[in-house]
Amino acid sequence: MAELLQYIATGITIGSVYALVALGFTLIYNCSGIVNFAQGEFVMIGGMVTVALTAYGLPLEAAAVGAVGVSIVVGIAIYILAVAPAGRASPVTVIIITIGVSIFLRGAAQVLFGKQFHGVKPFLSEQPVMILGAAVQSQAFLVIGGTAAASLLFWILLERTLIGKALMATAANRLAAQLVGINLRRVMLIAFGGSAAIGAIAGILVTPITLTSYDVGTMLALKGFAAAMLGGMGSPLGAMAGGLLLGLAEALSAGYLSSAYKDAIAFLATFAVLLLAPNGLLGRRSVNRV
Amino acid sequence: MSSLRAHDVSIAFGGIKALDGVGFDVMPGEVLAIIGPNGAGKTTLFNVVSGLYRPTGGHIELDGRGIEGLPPHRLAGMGLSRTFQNLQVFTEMTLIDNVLVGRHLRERHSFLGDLFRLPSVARENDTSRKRAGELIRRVGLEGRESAIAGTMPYGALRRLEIARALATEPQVLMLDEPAAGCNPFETRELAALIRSIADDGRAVVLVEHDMRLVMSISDRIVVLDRGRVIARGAPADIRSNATVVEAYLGRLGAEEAARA
Amino acid sequence: MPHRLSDRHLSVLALAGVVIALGWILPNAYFLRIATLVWIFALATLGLTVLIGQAGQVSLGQAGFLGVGAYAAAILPTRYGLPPLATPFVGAFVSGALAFLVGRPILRLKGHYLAIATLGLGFLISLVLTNEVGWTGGPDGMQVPRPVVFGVSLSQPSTWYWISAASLLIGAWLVLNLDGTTTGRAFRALRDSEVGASVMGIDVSRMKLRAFVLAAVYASVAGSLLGLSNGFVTPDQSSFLQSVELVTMSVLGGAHSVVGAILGSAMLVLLPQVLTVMQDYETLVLGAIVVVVMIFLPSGLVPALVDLTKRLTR
Repeated sequence: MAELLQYIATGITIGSVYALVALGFTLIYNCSGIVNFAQGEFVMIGGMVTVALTAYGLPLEAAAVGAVGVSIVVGIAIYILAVAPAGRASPVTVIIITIGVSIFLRGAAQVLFGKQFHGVKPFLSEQPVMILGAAVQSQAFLVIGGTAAASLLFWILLERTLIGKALMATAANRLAAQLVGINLRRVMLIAFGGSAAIGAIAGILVTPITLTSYDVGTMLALKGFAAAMLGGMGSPLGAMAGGLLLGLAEALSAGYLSSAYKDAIAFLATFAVLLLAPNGLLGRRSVNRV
Repeated sequence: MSSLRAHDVSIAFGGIKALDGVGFDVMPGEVLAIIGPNGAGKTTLFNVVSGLYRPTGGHIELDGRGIEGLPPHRLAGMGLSRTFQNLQVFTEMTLIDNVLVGRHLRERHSFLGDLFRLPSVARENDTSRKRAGELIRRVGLEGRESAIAGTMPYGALRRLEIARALATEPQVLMLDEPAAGCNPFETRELAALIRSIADDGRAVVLVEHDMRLVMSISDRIVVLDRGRVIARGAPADIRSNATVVEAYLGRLGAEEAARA
Repeated sequence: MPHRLSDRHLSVLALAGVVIALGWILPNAYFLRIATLVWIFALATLGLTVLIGQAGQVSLGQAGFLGVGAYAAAILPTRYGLPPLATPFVGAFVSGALAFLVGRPILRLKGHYLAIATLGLGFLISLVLTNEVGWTGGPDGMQVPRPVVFGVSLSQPSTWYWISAASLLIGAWLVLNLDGTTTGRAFRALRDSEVGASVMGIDVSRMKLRAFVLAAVYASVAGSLLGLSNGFVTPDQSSFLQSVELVTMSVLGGAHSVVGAILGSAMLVLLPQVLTVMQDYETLVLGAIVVVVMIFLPSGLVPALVDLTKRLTR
């Protein structure tokens, strides 16, 4: 029982990170139809910059704000320098561009921070909290709480603000949105900036638990991508659900089956779901119009 | 015996019935037109019959064999081909290659044979090229064989789709708005082409908005409105049918009222 | 068009000319090894020329098949006593069978969904190769025994240069053959419009599967040659990054074109060699080059060069 609880706690914690990465994917995908493979790098940047700034003696809060800021700048730069100039290139081309961006950022991180792992101390205390015999790190609560807060904020932004309405309108129909006077470029900038912020927050929160290094982004992008697919590409709720499910599946299989193959679970689960429901768990059904 | 027969065909999308008990049949050598106001379900009916959508009810027969639920490539093998209102041309291929794709089932090919270019490939290519060239001439695109399809005007691509469909040597040819975007001269030529296709002994099913074209070449007409058949008969009967006039004018009247 | 036939043969002959000339000119073992790598990766990329460029289906897991081929060359002789030179064929069969089995469900997916599914497939293969230490030697990889022909061990760089070059020529010849056949036209038709293709009688899922199996076999043979010529294999050869490199090779040169596949491979093989001078900056510069080329030449180098020569000669 304690063991199961332990796995579930781990699963929800890591699943929260996947959920945030998937949410970031969804935000950009909905507005532009682009799958941004560099999404995982935002998580790396969030963690890395926090580590670097605290090392310079900045208080954690300031370092975290700085990390989110840097990530947003990078996100916006990706749009302006790499995605926008590509114009109406084919999806494969854009995928490769974002993969190129991801390789570039990884290379930059390697130059700036080196190849070793970096960590920060847990924000609250290093003592784990005991729940029914399971030791849960205090940081895990921050990750889960932070994810909940970030997604709530995301939801409010989308549903309750004018800019959110513009984002949703663009997602529904790009041409129509432009015709009613929505500035597409601004919407894209906000999508890339917002998506970068979400990723950075995940990175800041999870680094005390998982540590970070220049190359954590690739795997996170893959998992987040899988989570977004699992939930149904384009659905924010699906992204959250997909992320949490993936995290749980991974933690449980690591615990009960094989830790070496826990990464396989993500893809096997995604395969299974895609084959049964080609649009994901919560994805929109589409009719092939001809 | 009729070439193609649809009986009591229905389909629903998310609870909304797009087709409700629609039936028609067409004989070899005959042109059957399906008309109706926008949103009547004409293209949906085409998509169901040609195997793109699976009907929720009803029965469709090609040469007496039930075909509902069969994929399009199987139907092509059984002698049914079609064109599209929203063109499905192979835009990056040349016109002749587009038509050659239509010869797919008429060529006895094997993957390995193609990979190693067995001598039979060249022989078959020659036959196919000759046939495809004839079809290109037939639809009036001679001289443009090696133009890339994506660079050609709309009207030419509509005729290209007809040539491509004919290359499959169909018993039943379904044309979805072949005259859309054509000028009056092109439309007259198209009418002659469609009539000649039927005169070859093929059954032609036609969805078209150009009433003059429909009236001039159709043997029979089926009128759809909101997913149901509201009238059927010879062109002369349809022209004077009160229900049909109301279906068209009723819409127009309502639109005018809305504008006022 | 009867002259089309000779076009095809001319391309292969020109390629053969380049290959033979390089084989004579290249001064030492180092350059021969690099050229060998170019031919081998070009062979793997040619599979993607058919799959991505002609049939329009993305695969982000192609390195998985490269890995299967590579480990076939390592495992089969060590554990089953198979002659090393037979391993590319056995590996190709295994890869082809695997692609055939997994391809049918996967290829029902489109666009991004297909990308993630193939990516997952490659990832799973890579995971197995990394974790089954007893079989594969784990993350450190394993030795590949040298083939011995008439008592002579094939270890000379020049030997592997000619073997890989010959394989590439055969591979290129087969891909060029497809152009202008029923199969080749069907591939391109389903890239342009799946609905249009199916109405023309093309069994779309079957055609996709053929392209997928072909690409898998190409990658697998390339993987075996890589293992045999290097004398060792590591799971890195099946990694996601390797898959990305293969797709980049294909798109960089021009996804439709055979010459593009070779040029793209040459660029991505040579780049790290040049960049080792910059050591730490290698990854960074590689990423930047990929981005810049894709932005300014989205359809790849070869189509861009063809356009340029057309404009200049006009």
